[in-house]
Amino acid sequence: MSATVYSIRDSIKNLPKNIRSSVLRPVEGTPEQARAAAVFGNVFLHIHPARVHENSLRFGYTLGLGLISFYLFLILAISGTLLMFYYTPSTQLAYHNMKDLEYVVSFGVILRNIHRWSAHAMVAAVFLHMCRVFYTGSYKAPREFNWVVGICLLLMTLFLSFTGYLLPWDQLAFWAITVGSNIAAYAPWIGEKIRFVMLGGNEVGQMALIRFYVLHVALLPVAALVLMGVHFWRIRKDGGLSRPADR
Amino acid sequence: MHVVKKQEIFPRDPNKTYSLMAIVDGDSLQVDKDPGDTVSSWPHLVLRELLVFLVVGIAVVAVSLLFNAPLEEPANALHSTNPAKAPWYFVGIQELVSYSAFLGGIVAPAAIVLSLLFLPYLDRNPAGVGVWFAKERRVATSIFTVFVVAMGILIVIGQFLRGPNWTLNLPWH
Amino acid sequence: MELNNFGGAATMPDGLDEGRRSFVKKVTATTLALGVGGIALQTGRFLKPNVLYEPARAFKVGDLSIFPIGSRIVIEGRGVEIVRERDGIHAVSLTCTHLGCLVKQVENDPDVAYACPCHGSTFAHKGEVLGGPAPKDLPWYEMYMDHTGALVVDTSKVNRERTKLVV
Ligand code: HEM
Ligand code: FES
Repeated sequence: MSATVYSIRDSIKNLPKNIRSSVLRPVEGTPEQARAAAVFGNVFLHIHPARVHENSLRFGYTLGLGLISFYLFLILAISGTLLMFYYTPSTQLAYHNMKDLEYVVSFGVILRNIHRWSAHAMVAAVFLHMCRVFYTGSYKAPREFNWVVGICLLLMTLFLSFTGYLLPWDQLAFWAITVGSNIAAYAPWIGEKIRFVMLGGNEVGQMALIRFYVLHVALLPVAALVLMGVHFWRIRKDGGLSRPADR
Repeated sequence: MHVVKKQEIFPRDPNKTYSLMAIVDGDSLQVDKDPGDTVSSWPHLVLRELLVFLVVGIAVVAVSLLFNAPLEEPANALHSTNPAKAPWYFVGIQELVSYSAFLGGIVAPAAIVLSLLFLPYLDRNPAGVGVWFAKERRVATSIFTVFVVAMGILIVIGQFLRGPNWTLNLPWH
Repeated sequence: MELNNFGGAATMPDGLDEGRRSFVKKVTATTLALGVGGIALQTGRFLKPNVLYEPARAFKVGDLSIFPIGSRIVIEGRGVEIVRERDGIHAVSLTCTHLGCLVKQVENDPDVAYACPCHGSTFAHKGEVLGGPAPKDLPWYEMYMDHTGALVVDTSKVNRERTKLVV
């Protein structure tokens, strides 16, 4: 019966320990078991297998490029969400918001720089990651589908950059999107319609800005996140990272 | 007595990988034996990932402290910038577009995306997985390198050599 | 009766309600296809705006007297240029037919009248393409004089014959 007897004093004394163990779900066992539990008992780490092949750790093999792409995406999501607190998708206000970020918001200019440079870096990292996957032959069976998911992620990354490019509403933005949307209009049959729906009108104006904004802050990031989930899940289901045949 | 036929729900498959889902009491035949060539994810993998994160984070913050993101004059529908350039990763396409809008802007990108999407189903050569620039894949490696280098050259021309009115300005002129 | 992996009955008595099953399957598939197709269609319709808050395509450019003979005057914000010559007056679009940048007037050149800053297309005095990637000549727009005597340009109507308005 002693197990059920408790005193409020003991509860208080053990408070830190009890909170800690309730959060971390520690596993008692051999060191090996505890290490495994550290991975699969943690919702953020359980995407990893408990054990990985040594080849997957070789930096010279992956160059860490997929991981770097993912980290840049996280940095972009966080810095972008912060920028949203000051940004209004209006042709009257957008440019002034950018100026405010630059001159009056604390750390606004750094936040904007982080968002812009990470976006450039992510395009580069994703492209280089694709090159690494190609040159190591990692798209071969059974990883064909993950390559296709990867191409979709590459397209999402490019669309995210393109839609984000319009938001500062400066000359660079305006004319780049004018040119870009007119390229789409050359598509046979539906080109003009695509352009009209993309811009929400005949010219780059308020309707185009709000459309690009919604795509940039909601639709495309969610799509990219879902695709990344599939991408990572497939890596495990396809047997972990590719590696040379065992000798 | 009725004997239930024991049936394997998941048939044994030599190509499957097995992962640890839970720890139960008791010993198994594998006790004290490591699955060959593997290491535990914690700490070997996770710490390395953390390290990469630190490097990426520091690099991004450092660049952001040193260089400001560009912001030009407010958008003005009455005056085109001269030249009007797309972001660098589209400048290669823009370079093609400056020869022909339809071929460079629609046909070439569509061809690139479609061939990338179908690549794993077209290249069925099973050799050379897991090795950089495997000898057995010379043809594939060469074709892809031509594509990457061509993209690179187009981007450099568009980004650095094109001046006002999209005229070619060679740096040594 | 044998049990399958999912704990359900592995086999039904043969043929008992095959007909009913396939009917239910067809109805379900049809409803699903109609529903998803309908939603996709309506979303497409929803995304196509019915009202545009853009400047009207037909607009007054002013009295004849502001366009003296021999002048080429750009209407700011409209992307058109009004050209008045001895035998009449016409409106040329300044939107490059390549990818929509605004072409710039070129001064003091016998052949080239317009150059595009974006990819270097050049156009002659009547708007014909001279060089660069532009696929079409700069169009002329319909022009007429309304009852008050003001000149009106209608950018929704292209003047294909390139006829000048005789005034
Ligand atoms: C947002 C973009 C992307 C992210 C965040 C991402 C992330 C990752 C990560 C973390 C890995 C683990 C290995 C490594 O770090 O290299 C990986 C592997 C892989 N990725 Fe990506 N990736 C992206 C885009 C792509 C693209 C564009 C492709 C190819 C077209 C691709 C194809 C693959 C394949 C096939 C693997 C398995 C490689 C192997 O087994 O060796 N991914 N990806
Ligand atoms: S937009 Fe005029 S040449 Fe391309």
